[in-house]
Amino acid sequence: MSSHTDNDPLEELKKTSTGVENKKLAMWAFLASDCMFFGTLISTHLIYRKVYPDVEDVIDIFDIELTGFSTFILLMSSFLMALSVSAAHKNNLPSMRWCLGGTIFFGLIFLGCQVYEFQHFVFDKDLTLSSSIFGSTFFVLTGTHGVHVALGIFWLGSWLIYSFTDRYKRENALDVEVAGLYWHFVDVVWIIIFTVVYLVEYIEF
Amino acid sequence: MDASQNTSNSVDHHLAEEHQKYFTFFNVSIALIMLTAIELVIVYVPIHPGIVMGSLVVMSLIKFLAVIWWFMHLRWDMILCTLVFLSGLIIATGTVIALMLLFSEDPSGAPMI
Repeated sequence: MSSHTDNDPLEELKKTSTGVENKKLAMWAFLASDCMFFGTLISTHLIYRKVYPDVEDVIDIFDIELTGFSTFILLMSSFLMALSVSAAHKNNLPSMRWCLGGTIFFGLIFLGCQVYEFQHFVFDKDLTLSSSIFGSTFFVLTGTHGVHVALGIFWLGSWLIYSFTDRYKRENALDVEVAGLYWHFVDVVWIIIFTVVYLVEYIEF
Repeated sequence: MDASQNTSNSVDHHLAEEHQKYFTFFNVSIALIMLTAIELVIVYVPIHPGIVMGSLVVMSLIKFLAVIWWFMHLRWDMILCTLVFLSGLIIATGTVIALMLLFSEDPSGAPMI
């Protein structure tokens, strides 16, 4: 007797020794290593804030309204990404394209906010990569995250374009899902950065 | 039951499952927005800083877990994916905590650059 699972190319990809698609497992392993990467950057920032707490008047530099807005934007892009993956699994290409486009659009807004924030810090607040220890750790940490967002936008954009070609197949839903895992990870890293780098500074001890 | 009927039932079940996920994703995103709004407000509320700090940690943790559990499909994937990710997350968290405990404030102030 033939069944749907025997014919579905997505189910065929699960026939590995682990039972998990190889691409997906490789992405989870990469994300685990990226956790350690961001862990070191966050540690460096927090340690220097702890060792030299009075190096900058951080609340005067930050613009929490803008950062809060960009956080909402990134969370919404994650929601659209989840819908893109769901649409890809349903083989609903028009819906997948709209949601992917929305994710990329929100990602670009987030990047725009970050670029605006950086130029505001550099030109209006005189905070640069080499002006103080706070500037060094802040720009390296948030800049690395921004590079991850930019790479994610490029990756999702390539799948959006690819989905318009004849070469896009049903099994490519897994590739969209793997790209989605990366995008969600960028979102969870920002959830941590938003709290430990920005919000904690506003607590008056 | 013939092959075509079997396939049709399986596809219907798959579609129903994905349809259900839409509402889950929507509810999770609403919860994430509300938690972020609370985070933004709570830092201005004149209460004990320890309570604010604790609330921020708990809310960030909930947001973090919500995204990886539902948006990143760990809820529906095999446990192996969770274990692989947790291995890196635990090492990273342990490193951050250990380093934070190792260092203390420098009484001589920040070095001049």
